[in-house]
Amino acid sequence: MGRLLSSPKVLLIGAAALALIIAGLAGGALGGAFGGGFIGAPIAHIQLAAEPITASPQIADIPFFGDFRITNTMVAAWSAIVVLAVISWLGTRRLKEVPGRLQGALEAVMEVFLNACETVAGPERGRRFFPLVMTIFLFVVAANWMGILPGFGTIGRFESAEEVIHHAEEKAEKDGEHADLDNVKLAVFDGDGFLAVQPFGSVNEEITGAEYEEMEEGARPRAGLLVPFFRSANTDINMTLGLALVAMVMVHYWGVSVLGLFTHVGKYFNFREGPIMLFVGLLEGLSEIARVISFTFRLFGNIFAGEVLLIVMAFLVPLVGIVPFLGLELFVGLVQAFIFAMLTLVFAATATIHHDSEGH
Amino acid sequence: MEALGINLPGLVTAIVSFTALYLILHFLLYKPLLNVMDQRSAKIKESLETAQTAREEAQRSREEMEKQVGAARAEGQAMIAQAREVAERFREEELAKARQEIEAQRARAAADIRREKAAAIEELRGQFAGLAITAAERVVGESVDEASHRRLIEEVLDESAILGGRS
Amino acid sequence: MIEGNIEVIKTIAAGLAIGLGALGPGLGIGLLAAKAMESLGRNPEAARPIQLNMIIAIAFTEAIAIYALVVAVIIIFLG
Repeated sequence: MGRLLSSPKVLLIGAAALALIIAGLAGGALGGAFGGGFIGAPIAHIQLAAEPITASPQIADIPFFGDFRITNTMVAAWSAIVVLAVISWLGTRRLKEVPGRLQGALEAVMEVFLNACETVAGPERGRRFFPLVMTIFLFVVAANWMGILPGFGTIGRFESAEEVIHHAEEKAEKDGEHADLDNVKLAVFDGDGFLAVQPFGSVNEEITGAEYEEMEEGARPRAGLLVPFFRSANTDINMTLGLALVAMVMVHYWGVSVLGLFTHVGKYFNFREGPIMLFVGLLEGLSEIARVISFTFRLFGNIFAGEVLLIVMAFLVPLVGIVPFLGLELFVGLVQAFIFAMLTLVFAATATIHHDSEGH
Repeated sequence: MEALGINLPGLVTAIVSFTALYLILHFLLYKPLLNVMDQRSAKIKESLETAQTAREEAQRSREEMEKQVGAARAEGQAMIAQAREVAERFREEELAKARQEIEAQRARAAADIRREKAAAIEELRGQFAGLAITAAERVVGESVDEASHRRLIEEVLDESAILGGRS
Repeated sequence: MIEGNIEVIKTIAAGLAIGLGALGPGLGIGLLAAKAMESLGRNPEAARPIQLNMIIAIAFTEAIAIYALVVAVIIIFLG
């Protein structure tokens, strides 16, 4: 310890870290409450629904389908897919008996899940469930980990104040109310053009829509909202709901294909063993729907809460505040991916068990 | 639903994207890698079995060899014993022969000595008789009948212990 | 009076929903982890199955908190 402290390199790094921490504490919103706050950024706009990244209202309006607009979560999901595809292409390009590093790593991950599948569902069914379980894990973990990369949520399209106010008024008109411009919050951005970067200046450079309207035409700042180009794919309920639906549909498909349609459906509509078993079966059917909901909101809630946590920490203590939470988010992202995959596996295994063979 | 952000286009896009990823990974990752892994485990199993049989084979051949070595050792032992016996017999034969020869030589030497001794005694006796006669002639002064004298001396000599016993 | 403060009431309701709803699962997960640690201490060789089952059981327990989250989200955004 003493030798470590006397090394000039370590001392320098330690001093730099200390300076950063002090600057972050004093310069952020936390320090802002005591008269500091010189480097803090205004808190980023938190929105539940994914935002379309294109300025035009819509790309295609398909009848009975709705208007299709590319959102930032779709872009993130597609980048995760591309990354996974490239990694697997690189890893399997030159297959060798004695694997190289990438091939070895891929094999190690697959080995873990193959073993889990074969332990939970037996060798034959395990092999059948494996691709879906593995794909869910890889996709979720890739999307979660990519979601905390720098640039996610901080670089995006600049939506000007006029657009924001226009949208708010449109929405209010639809509900038959007046737009409450005091509640429309706008951030002030540097630079010009359509690109916006999460501002990195004073904490208090935030104005409301009403204030903006009151300003004179020429003196208005470049206020508006940041619509990020990338946003962690699993902070979109559509994505997690889609995953949950695919997982549960596949679980029931396997249930039907292994047990037969009547046996499988008979588990939920049980007319043979009296009213109590009928009620139990119906309850089980209800719990299948609850499983979809818990799948959806577990992943969404964890990842969205993580994003919000990072935003709030970046707001409170800029520069260093998010560092420990980045580690936490890496862990949470991994665990959530693992849980999603494992629960799918367990549901699939229980859905394909013959109830008669258990002897009751 | 709209406030939560759930909409049909987004949901369909998510499902389609995930299905596409499933297919991509299925053909790009799982199939080739599972193939390689299965092949490898089959190969490992095979080589383990081969190693097992090889070990058994080695065990067997070692036992065989040990048996052979044991037999060869016994044979060698027997051969050595036989050779030693032969050598022993040979030595004893030689020894006996040498002893016999020595015995014969000694006997020859003894016979020679006896013969020499007899000859010497004979000669001595002749000289002694002549000497005695001469002495007696001097004493008596006259020539005695030589023939009777000689007979007399012969008788005396025969009676004496030293020069008698002519064999 | 209620008419004017509907947003405030909604906020309080959502906070209560997730706060009270997270109480039970929080205790449950704590109990689960405690028992898992205990059995891990008794039988360290069974670490892998214990870990797997613990994670799955935690996921089931956590589902209750997720229902509370759903309710809170519904109150805030859809109510």
